[in-house]
Parts: sequence; structure tokens; C-alpha cells
Amino acid sequence: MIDIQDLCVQFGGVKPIDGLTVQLTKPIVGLIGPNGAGKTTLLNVLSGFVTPVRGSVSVDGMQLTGVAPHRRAAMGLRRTFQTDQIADDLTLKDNVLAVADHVAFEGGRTAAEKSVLAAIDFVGLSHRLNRRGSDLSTEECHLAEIAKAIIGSPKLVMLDEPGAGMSESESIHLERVIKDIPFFYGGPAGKTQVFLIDHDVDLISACCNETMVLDFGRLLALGNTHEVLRQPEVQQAYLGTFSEVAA
Amino acid sequence: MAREKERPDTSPGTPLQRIRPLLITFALIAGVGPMVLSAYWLNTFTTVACLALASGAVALLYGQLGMVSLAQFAMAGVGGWFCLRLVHGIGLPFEIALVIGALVAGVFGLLVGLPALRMRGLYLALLTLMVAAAFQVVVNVIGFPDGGPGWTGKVVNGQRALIERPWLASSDAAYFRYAVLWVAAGLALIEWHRASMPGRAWALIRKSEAAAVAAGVSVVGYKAYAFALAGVLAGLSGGLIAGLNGQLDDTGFPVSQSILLFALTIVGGAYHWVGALFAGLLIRALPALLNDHGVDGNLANAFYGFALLVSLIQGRKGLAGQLADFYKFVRMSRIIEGTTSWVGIAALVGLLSWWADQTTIAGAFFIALIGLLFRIAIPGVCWLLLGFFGKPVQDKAEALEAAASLRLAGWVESRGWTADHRIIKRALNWLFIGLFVGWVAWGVFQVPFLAALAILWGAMALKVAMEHALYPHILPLRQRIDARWPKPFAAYR
Amino acid sequence: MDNLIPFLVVGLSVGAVYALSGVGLVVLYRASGVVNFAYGALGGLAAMVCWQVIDLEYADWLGWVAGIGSATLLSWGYGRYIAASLTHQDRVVRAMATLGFALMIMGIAQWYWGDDPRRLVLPTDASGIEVEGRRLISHTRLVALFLAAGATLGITWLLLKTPLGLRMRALQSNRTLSALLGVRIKRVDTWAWTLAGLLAGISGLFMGNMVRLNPVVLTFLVIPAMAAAMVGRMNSLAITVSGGLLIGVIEALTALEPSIQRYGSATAFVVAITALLWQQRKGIGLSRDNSHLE
Repeated sequence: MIDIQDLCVQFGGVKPIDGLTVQLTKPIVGLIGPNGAGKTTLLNVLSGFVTPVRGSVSVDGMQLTGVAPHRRAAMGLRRTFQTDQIADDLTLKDNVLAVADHVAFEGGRTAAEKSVLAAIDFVGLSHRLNRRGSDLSTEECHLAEIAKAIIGSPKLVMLDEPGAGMSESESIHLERVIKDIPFFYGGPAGKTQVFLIDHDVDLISACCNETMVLDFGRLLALGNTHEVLRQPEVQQAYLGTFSEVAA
Repeated sequence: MAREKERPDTSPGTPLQRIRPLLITFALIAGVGPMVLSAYWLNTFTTVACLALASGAVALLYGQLGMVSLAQFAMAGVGGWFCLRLVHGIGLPFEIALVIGALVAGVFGLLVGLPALRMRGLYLALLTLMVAAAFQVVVNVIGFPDGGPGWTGKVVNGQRALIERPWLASSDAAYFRYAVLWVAAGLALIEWHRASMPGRAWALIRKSEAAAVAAGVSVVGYKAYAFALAGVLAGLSGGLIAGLNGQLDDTGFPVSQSILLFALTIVGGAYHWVGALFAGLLIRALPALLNDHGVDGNLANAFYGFALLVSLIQGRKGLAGQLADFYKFVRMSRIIEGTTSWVGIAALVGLLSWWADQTTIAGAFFIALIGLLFRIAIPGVCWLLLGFFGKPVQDKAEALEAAASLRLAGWVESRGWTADHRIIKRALNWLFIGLFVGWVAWGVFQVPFLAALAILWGAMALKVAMEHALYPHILPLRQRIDARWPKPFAAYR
Repeated sequence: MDNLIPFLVVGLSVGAVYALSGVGLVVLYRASGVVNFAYGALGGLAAMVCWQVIDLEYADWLGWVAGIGSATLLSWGYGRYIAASLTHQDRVVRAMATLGFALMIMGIAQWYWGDDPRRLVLPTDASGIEVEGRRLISHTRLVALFLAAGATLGITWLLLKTPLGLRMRALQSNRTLSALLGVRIKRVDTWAWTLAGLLAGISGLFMGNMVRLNPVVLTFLVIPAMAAAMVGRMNSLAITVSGGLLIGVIEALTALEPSIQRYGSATAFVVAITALLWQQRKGIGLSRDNSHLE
């Protein structure tokens, strides 16, 4: 569960996030909003790259304010980035292993390797195990990022536009993967929460149990994905309205 | 979607597998070197080995983390300084002084690196340049220890003392082997890092620091560690050079050497240990060879500047990269076959020429072996130089040669002989290699130039004939070898 | 106090040439993002060519033109052809390429002219400002000071008031975006390199006159120039000039204190390192494109 209380972020005169208060409890939560709405900024606050001027954020009861970015992974937070972050010179397996290296596993190295293979298998890239990062396709890179993010039973996995540049069939595969993430580590209610940002409304409506809409740093709507997408304020924020031109 | 049958990916191998080629190569060098080199060249190649280690340190920072350090040669100076000071001052055995000197250099490297952790690549380059320049001034003033009193240990009037070589390694030949083993250990240490957790973390950092942080990698920690390690290795190389000559020259660590070390690390290839070897050869061995001809060292510097430019335009992989590009898809069986046939021919040729009184066995043996190494590197250099005029020119030349070769090969085959379909490229390779290696053989081993040429070209012809004849018979063996061993150069870059 | 004055004079004038070089470095960096390691080498070449022409009994001014012209020409050529092929690589690679360029120029110059002691004499050496019968400052040094100030003002005017300057600033801000907006990268870059070459040539002549006429020494005088530029954060011309002057003065004053006298030539480096550390003292944060920490 993500609990955000009165979050306020300010860069100079700009307020990307302005007084945001929301609790996100469902296994897969979507975040949509027009460009500049503050989506990536919210993600940066959660991962610790941006410090808010006010407000607090906690995940599963753990306070995140003041925790250094590289410690958040150990606390169970993972994220992907919009641009490719797969190391060119490492194989896919080594890329994911690099993340596993820094997670404490009971059972040492063998447990780490097993979890790496399991994660790669989960996203459907077992046939690319030894392929160099530079030789992976865009879709494979995005899936690899997800594999990296689910290593070590994280509490929260944040996906920043994982579907960018994917074709229709690739998006369908991605949907399946995302929907299964919460249950990868077992349990009927799922052990991992997914926070998904994307512009692809089809992806969001297919995967997400609830969706949050941001506009100008404020919460515009929160609730069941289909209902939220039908709300007139949400449609107006995305598409704008026609105003009558005075004759 | 239908795809052509893809070559299966091979795993890069365990750390030990990846270190093996390095250890074997250096063992060969250590073993054979003193047998074939004169005293002058033995000392030169000892320095080459030490510089290869220093280059490895530079390559560690640049290749693994994209960090330009122009101060590594200064770190070598630091290591050498402390090694000398400890031997003169406290009378420590050379090994211990060497290691302590290296560790101190590691601390210095760390100190230089700490502010750099927050800097973009360019500022680090400038900072390290300033450090190297400051070191030059400081060393010019306080000098290297030579048995004197005080904390600088410098003798003002009177006899300057040299440190003695370790008792195991007092002769030139023994010290050569000693130094080569230390260098092999240092470079192997880097390779081991690359193949395990630190290397993976470095790769993540190199791609994107933010992503590395988000994955829980301590960027600060790993970068600091890299600086310390690079400092230790550079310091080690400095101490080894001090041990070779018994002393270090006060003017021997100028900024220009630091810059040249960096430049030639790029030219040699910053992504593989073979690149470090090339760098050492270029810094020390090639100028020595050119000196024999009375070629001014400055022209060598000018050429190196040109080579650096070309390397950077081409994509920075350097000579070792050219080698790896050619060898990337070469299977282990081919390498074993090639090496065995070369060694066999070299031995045969050596015996023949000794019987004909033309040259020593060892010299002829080594000519053929060097020919093996340069078989790929030399054409790579030429291709590299062509690349200076831009990739389209390179591609055009490649296309022209391929077309002409095809026609020539077709003509040859219509006469009833078999021909390689890149016959012109092969012929040009042979020409270049013969001339270049013949020249090296003349300079380093005192073999008459024409004799060297004859040996090389004859050996190449013999090898090709042998391989054609034997191919069907050894194919099953080759397939068994390939199934077991990974491609050695597949993981380069 | 009296005996400080000669040191101050020397310090200020050498510092002025550091400043001039620093300005050239900063301008090029601002316009094209390249730190030009070849700056000193170009200056050295200019000085050697100038000396050679004069040595061949041609007129002095011909020597200056030839010297400055050769530096400008080489710099133009590099900018037009070589820098252009590297333009999409990162800054570090482009800076290292200039290192290669520097080695080339230095190697050839050193090979051709060697280490023979030579002097580059400028006509303004002979006269100067006299106070109470003692020479206070030669005209050469005075000219150097004025040139540093003049170049700074001139370039500031160029950057702020001319269309070319506007394009240079656009490129500095965001190259890709500027290209998309129609700024012709190659053309602006070439102008920046030509300007840098011109400044390098001029400062080279002064360095050759005031420091030493030797290709290697002159090539490595780029380092104190870089120190000045680093003080100015590779951005502010005014601070670069102040930095250069400061370095020159401190360097000259170290001659007065016997214990640090011999370390005098390390002044620039110490100043640069201090400046860098001071500038980087704030914490680590994420860059705008999320690709690295800064």
C-alpha cells in the first residue's frame, strides 16, 4: 500500500506536485495524466531522487522521507525508467544478476542465480539468457527491466511507461506479464504491488485494478479504471473541450 | 515470424574461464621471453609489461566506468616513490615495499577519486590532469629517494644508491619473469573483477547511474573502489619499474607521459587486457624500435596523436577491439588449430634455418609466432587508418576489394585450383605482415630482413596448405572442442 | 612593497595571457562543448612559425600574420572536418580527440624545431613605462593585459549582441534542439573553432615571448589556461579572466618565499583543484534527463 499525505514538490517557481493526498491499496494501480502532470516527478519522489518540500510518503507502513535512494531498493522499492537502462556489455542474465547481487538471499549465490532464472523465465525471455544487452530488441529490453525489478520479493514495483515502442502483440504479452507480477511470489492477495504509469489507455484498462489521474500536480480522480476513464473531467484534461468562438 | 537460424548465444564463462587465456599468454611470455631476447630488449620488454599494467589501470577506469583519469602515471610515480623510500629508509624487502607502495598509491588514487565521484566525466579528466601536472612539479623538486636522509630520502652531494633486486630475481631474465608474473596477476585481478559482482555493478553504473542507484547499487562505493584499485595497480607498476632500474628518474614522470599513457590505452583498446599489452608495446617497444632507425621519438608522438584521433572517430575500441571483431565469432577449435599449426611450422622453420645457418632457432620461432598475432592486428591497423577518411570510404574500399577478390578467385578456380574468395585481402595481409614482422625481427632479433620475409611468407604458405589437407580429418575433433569451450573473445567490449 | 611590484607586473602579464587563453577555451567550450587540449599546441605552433619567418629575414609583421594565421587555419580545419565527424559523441570523447590533435602538432613541431634555445622578440619588448628611471612594465606586457581585457569584452559583445553569438549560446544550451530549430551546427562550430584558433595564435605569440619558445613547453601551457577556465566553471568569461590573473600573480609571488619557491609552477594546478572542489561541494542529485548523478 502506498500512502501519500499532502505531498508538495517545488522546483523554483514550478510546482509539479501540489498538495497530493491519496492511498493506493489495490495490487495494480495505474497512473495517467497529460504531459507535465507530475507523473514522473511522483515516481522520482517515491524512488528518492526528488525531495518534497512538504508532506510524507510511506509504503506498507515504512516512512520514505529522508531515506537515501540507493537504500530504497533494499527496502523493497523498485522502478524502471523511460529510457533503456540495460547494460550493453552484459548478457541479459548478468544484467539481472547485477541486481540480485545487491539483494540479500538466504541460500547465497545459488538462491540468487535461481531467482534470476525464475525472473527471466517469468517475463518470457529464457531464450535470450546469454544475449548481450546491446543485441536485445526494445521489447526485450523493457521486459528485462521488469525482470530486474521483480528480483528479491519487492513490496512495490514502479513501471514508468514500460509499453513505449511496443507493437500490438508485444503489448499483449506485456499485459500478461504485468498482471502476473503481484502473484509472482505467491499468495492470493499478491505480495508485490505494481504502480504503472503509461499513456497507453488500453494497457492501463487491461491491467489496473484502480487508476489515479493527475493533472497539474493534483489528484483529479481515483477509482475503478473504467469508471475513471469515463469521467468528463478526466476526458477534458486529456482532450480539452471546445469553447464557443464569439461571433 | 520466420527467422534464419540464429547462432546460439554462448555464455561468457565463469571468472576462471575468462582469466585462463590471460594466464596462458603471460606464462608463455614469461617462459619464452628470456630465451629469445637480448639483454637490451629484455629490459625494454620488462618496462613494456609494467606499462601494460599501468595501462590496465587506466582502462579499468575508462572502459568499466567511463572515467578519464590522466593521473594514473602519477600514481605509478607515487607507488615507485614509496617503494624506493621504504627500501632505502627501513630496509624492507623489495616485495613488501612494492606492495606497501602500491597500497599507498591506492590511497592517493582514492583521494583523487573522491571529489571526482560527483563530477561529470570531463571535470574528472581536467582534475586528474591537474593532479598529474602537480605531481610532475613536486617530483621535480623532491626527487625520487636514492639513499639520502630526511623524509625525502634524497642524496644531495655524493653517491646515489640503487635498490637491489629481490634475491629471486636478480638477473635480467629472472626479473623479467618476476615482473611479468606480477603484471599477469594484476591484469588477472581486473579480469576477475569484470567477470563477477563488481564488474556487473560497474556495467550498470556505466549505463546509467540513476538506474544503478534505483537497483540498490552504491554508486559512490563502487566508483571509489575502482579508483583505489586502479591506484594500487598503477602503484604496483611504478614499484616494478623502480625495481628494474634500481631507481627512478626525477624527470621520468612528466604530464606528457600520463597523457600518452591514456592516449595509447585508447589506441590499444580499453576494453580488454590485450589492449593493455598493445599500449605497453606502443609506449615503450615501438619507440625503441624506431630509435634504431634514428626516427625521432617526436614523430612517434605525432603518429600516436593521429592514432588516438582515428581510434576515437572509429568508435574507441582500439587495436584490441579490431582483433576481437575479427575473432569474435572464431571458435576455440579454430584458435587451437591455428596456434598448433603455427607452432609446429615455427619449430620446423626454426630447425631448418638453424641448419642453414641463417638465424637462431629461437629467433625464427618467434618470428612465426609474432606473425600469428599480427595476422589480424596489422590489417586491422590499416583498416583503422582508412577509417580516418570516414566509414563510407572504408565501406567502399571493402566493397571494391570484395568484388575484385571474387573475380580473381573465380578466375583461379576456373583454372582448377581452389581459391579463397577474399584472396586479395589475404594477399595484402600477407604482404603487410611479412614486411612489418620482418622489420620487427630485424630490429629486435637481428635477423636479416630478407631472411625474415622468406621465413614468414614461406611459413604462411605452408600453413595454408597444411590446413587444406588436414581439414576433413580433424573436423570431428574440432566439433567436440567447440561443444565444450566458449568463444574466448565473445565477451569483449 | 616596492620590491613586490616587479613580481606583480610579471604575474599580471603572464596571468593576462593565461586569461586570454582561458577565454579562448571557454568560448569554444560554450559554443561546441569541447575542451580543447590542443590550445597550447596551436599557440606553440604559432610562436614557432612566427619565429621561423622572422629568422628567415622576413618582416616582423609577416611573421605574426603567418604564426597567427597558421594556428587559425589548423583550428578551422580541425573544427570543419574532424570535430564535425565527432559531433555526436559525448564531450569526453571529443575532448580526448583534441588531445590527439595536440600530440600531433606538438610532435611535428618538436621534431622540426627541436630543443634549441630560441627567443621570440616582439618590438614592444624594447620600450615600456618607466617610473623614476626604472622600467616598470614593458609594452609587450601592457599589450597582453589590454588584449585580455579587450578579447573578453569583444567576445562578450559577440555572444550577447550578434546573431552568431546568439546561435553559439543556443548550441551551448541544447544542441539537438537548436539543430531542430534551424541553427546550423557545423557552421557555428566552425566559426567557434576559427575564433579559438585566432585567440590561441595570439596568446601563443605572447607566451613564446614571455615564457619560453619551445613547442613542448608551450603545448603544456594549456594546463594553466585550463586552470583559469576551470575557475570560471568553463562558463563565465569574467571569472576566467580573474582566475587567470590570480594564478599569474600567485605564481609570481611564490618566488618570494624560499620554502615554496620551487613549487611555484604548481600554482595553477593547486588553484584549479581548489576551485573544482569548492564548486562541487554540494550534494549529489539526479540530472534532468535521469541519466546520471551530478
